[in-house]
Amino acid sequence: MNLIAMDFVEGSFLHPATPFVILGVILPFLRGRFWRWLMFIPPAMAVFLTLHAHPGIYWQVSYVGQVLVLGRVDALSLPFIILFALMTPICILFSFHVREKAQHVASLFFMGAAFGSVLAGDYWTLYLFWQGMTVSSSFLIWLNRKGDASKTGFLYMMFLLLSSVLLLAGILLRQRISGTFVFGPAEGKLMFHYDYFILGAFAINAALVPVHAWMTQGLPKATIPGAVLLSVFGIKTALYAMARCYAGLDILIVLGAIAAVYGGFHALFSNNIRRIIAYLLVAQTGLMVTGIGMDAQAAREGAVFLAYANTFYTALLLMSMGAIIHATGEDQLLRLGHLAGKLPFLAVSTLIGVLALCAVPFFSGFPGISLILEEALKLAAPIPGSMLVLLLGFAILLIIMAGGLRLPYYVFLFKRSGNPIIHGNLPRNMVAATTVTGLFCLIQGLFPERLIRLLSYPVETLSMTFIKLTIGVLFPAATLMLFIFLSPLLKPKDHEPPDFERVYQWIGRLVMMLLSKPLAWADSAFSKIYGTVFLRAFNYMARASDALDRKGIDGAVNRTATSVMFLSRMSTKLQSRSLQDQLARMMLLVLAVVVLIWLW
Amino acid sequence: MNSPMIDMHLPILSSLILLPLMGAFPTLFMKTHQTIRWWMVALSLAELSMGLFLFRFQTGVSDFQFVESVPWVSGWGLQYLLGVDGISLLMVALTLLMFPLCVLFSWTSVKERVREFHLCVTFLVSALIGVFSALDLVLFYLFWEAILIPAYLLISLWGGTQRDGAALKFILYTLAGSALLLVVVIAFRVEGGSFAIPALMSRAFKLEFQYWMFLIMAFAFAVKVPLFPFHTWLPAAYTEAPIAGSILLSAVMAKMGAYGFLRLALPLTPDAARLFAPLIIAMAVCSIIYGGLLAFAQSKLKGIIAYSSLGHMGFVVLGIFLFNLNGAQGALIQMFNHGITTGSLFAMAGVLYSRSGRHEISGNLGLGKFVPVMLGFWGFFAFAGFAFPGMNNFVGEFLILAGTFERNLWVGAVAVPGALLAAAYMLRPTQRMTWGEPSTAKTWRDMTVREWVPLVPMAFLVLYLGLAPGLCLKIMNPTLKQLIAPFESQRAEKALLTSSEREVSLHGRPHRGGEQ
Repeated sequence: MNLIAMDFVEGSFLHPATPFVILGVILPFLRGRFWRWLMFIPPAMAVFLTLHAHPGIYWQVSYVGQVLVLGRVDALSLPFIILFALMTPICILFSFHVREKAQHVASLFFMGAAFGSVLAGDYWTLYLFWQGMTVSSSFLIWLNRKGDASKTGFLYMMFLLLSSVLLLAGILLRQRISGTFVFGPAEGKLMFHYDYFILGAFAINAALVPVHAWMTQGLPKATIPGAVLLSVFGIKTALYAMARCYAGLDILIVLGAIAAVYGGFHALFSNNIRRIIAYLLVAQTGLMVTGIGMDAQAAREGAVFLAYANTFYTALLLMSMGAIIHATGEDQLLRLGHLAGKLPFLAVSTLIGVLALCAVPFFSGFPGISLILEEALKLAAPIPGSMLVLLLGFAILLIIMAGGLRLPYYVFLFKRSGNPIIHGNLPRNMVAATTVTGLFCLIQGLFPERLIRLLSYPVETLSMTFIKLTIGVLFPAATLMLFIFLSPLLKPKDHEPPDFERVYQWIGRLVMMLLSKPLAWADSAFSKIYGTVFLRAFNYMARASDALDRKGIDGAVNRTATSVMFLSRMSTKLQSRSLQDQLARMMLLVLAVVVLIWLW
Repeated sequence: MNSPMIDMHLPILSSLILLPLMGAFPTLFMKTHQTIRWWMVALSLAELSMGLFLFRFQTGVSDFQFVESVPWVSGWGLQYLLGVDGISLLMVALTLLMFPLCVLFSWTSVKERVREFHLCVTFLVSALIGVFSALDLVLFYLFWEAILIPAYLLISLWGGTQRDGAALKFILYTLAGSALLLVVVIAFRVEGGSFAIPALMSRAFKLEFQYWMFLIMAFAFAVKVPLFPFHTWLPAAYTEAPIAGSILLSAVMAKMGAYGFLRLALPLTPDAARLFAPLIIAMAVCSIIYGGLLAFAQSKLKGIIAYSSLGHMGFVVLGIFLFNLNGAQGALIQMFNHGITTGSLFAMAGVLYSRSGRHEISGNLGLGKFVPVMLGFWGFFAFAGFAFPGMNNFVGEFLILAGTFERNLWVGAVAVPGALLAAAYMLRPTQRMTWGEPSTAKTWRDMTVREWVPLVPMAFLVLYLGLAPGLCLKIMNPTLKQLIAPFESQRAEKALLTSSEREVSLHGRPHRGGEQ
């Protein structure tokens, strides 16, 4: 019986998700300690498979009357699966010391689902793996078990499930109207109602403002390796999906610019070291989404390039911060400081990460951002080019100040009384994974042409000009100056004596007051809306339905049942008397009935 | 009726009905409870093995197969007429699968009147197979009514602390529906001249007659499914019944209502079904959302599973009344899959109760570390329960939603959040059961061989039907195509409307910007 027809089209192909899923299934049943070494098999296979993958359509599966395309390798999906494949051994290495199998199982399924989503050739396949990512990533938060990780994980899951529901609705509507499930750009660049559903789903997973809070809340609550995984695979998959379907969509430029500025601001005011990176990720995603939204190949290439670089340096920063949490047990900026001497390795790795983040020339963040900015300048609509560049430049300034200066400064350099205690050495696997990621960051920045080969077409504008170099150096330098001026305001507690710089400080404080409070209020309002709409209202509706069911509908049934029982008890009482009494009652009843019939 | 007589040397359906009853007879002479239990295991496995003969069912044929016809009361046109088609075969198979599960998961929970308990279970299984294979209206009605007695006894004698109320509510509700069903049986004999369902299916009835008959049948079946607002017997019955009762009630008996719609309401009263479809669809959608919300509000595991059934069966009825192939396929496959998943979840609830003595989630916390196998099985079936892609329930929901959007966008838009609710109400207890503190499972024993062995085939089916539902679809397709044929004209009209709507949309949509 031909239940599933697997057609191996255009040569042999093994889906890179396969080893991850297989190991994820068998891992809970493995005993002893050797299983941890098996964890390296899927990443090794993934690297091999993706580096040897050729464009084509693979693994077409007949499923419930539809043809699912599990493997579509093309110019857009190939760079992403190579990126994911390169990150998988690093992520596995970083989590190698973790003994709890559940964390590894969730990671394996999450990585497998990410490969599946990127290689999906149709929307149904995308939905299958999208759901897989949602559930497995929720477990990465729940498994932290600290603080309110459980509650946050649930909020996180609800948001991503909302994304799945939007995607499902969009897919079904799209099929109804266009008659196709092909996962690709909308026909004729027209936006239909279903496109907004699908775009909404992608926007949630890409953590675009205002649907970003699941990420900025969830990522700091995840397990230490889990946070790295979420940053690497989750948002990048959504970005890939956007690039696949909605490249050149004007609204993305606006949404991206808002996310870039908003994320940058909140990164500046946050005190949780992983939340700072989460906000930076929102901001950087905003830059990438802006690039995707521009109707220019170079901008899209810049977005992909930035996505590549961002994956490595964000992972590097999260690994470094995760290692600090592992070593100190602290994740609040307020309680950290002066760690450069105690954890020099992490100081260096963080430095590499922030230099890349700040788009300093010869570091990996620079080429992508410069491409996006160059194309932004040419834009006429929906935002004039100069205005957009100003906005994005402002966002980059905030990113540099928050991630490039404030974070490392208060973690590694700032001295305070009662500095955190280091609990033993870092696990060697964490150090090794961080080192490898740092090296990748450096290689990417120094030899960007290695990456260009993976992209769909050559990027001619990538050449380093004197102007670019100057801007690339002067911009972070200027931000450094600004940070120095504003640094007293950015400290958790400012005990500095007043000085001439006070003038600048007052200006800075005024700016902070004017901007930070409304933004803090807005973010808190967003959080409240999430809490109200998705949890409180949901709980209330559930309780109200329960009350209606028990007291309303069920009450009527219960009363009927009580009446029946009452009647039966009465009948029992009546029947318990003597035979003569019963006969007399029966005769009276018969007489009454006869009289009634006669009268009628 | 063109009925291929397959394997008439062995009247397989009669054998399947009689074997449990005859096999239960020797238990009257058995002295120990353990002997009875082992005998029942053997009997249930024998019944399941006999069911393997059903694999000789010819796919690609819409007619009834394994037909057995014996004149009963010639003067009244009554006959002992049995047969299965693509719809009923799956329901018979589901009943057979649940039989061993009921016996094995009642092993420790039923300690008193063990013989009588198993007699009730066997009687119930026989009657259920009878309902799904009866092709004579009177025979159908007899089996339908016969089910009430063992089901009532199971709840009232072996149920929980509030079993009396639950049993009474169950019997009141279902009797109300059943009593009216008798009117339908007689009316069809008078109007159609026969009790034979295949014969009646070939007749066209007057519109007014159809309306009345449909309304009566719809009430009887809606109670049995159950659909909102006729559902309030469900939580009480499901939660108070013993595990075997819960399994049979949720996994198989709930399907009787949906089966009734497919077997009688749609083929015999198609015009009325079309007319009242919006009403039934509204009730189904209400069941999906309302059931999901109620499941989320529950603190007891059995309560969550019970109300989740309300939502899932809402999907089933929604699929039936879409009158398209996707919807009908989805409904039928969801009936089968829901039976497997819910039956297994109730079995797991029984296992958990046997350890904790509590049905509340708070009494079953932190299992991950201490009883990983138990939690693994629960988690697996919970994932299947909320239609995780690749698992069996996903196929049904996928087809039903596809059918819904094909028919009406708004209904689809309202039904889709049901998926979100399902994940929420299943993952919430699962998460607490996995990591909730303080753990109640520190001294628990993990699942025994007797507990996990019957669940392994169920888990296999969850994956097999989720990944390769082709066999089920192949079995049901010819029958379903024939069933929805009268509604095809309406579908064609809808398709025309859709294409014209699409043209309007194409000309009236904003441009994405960029190149123009």
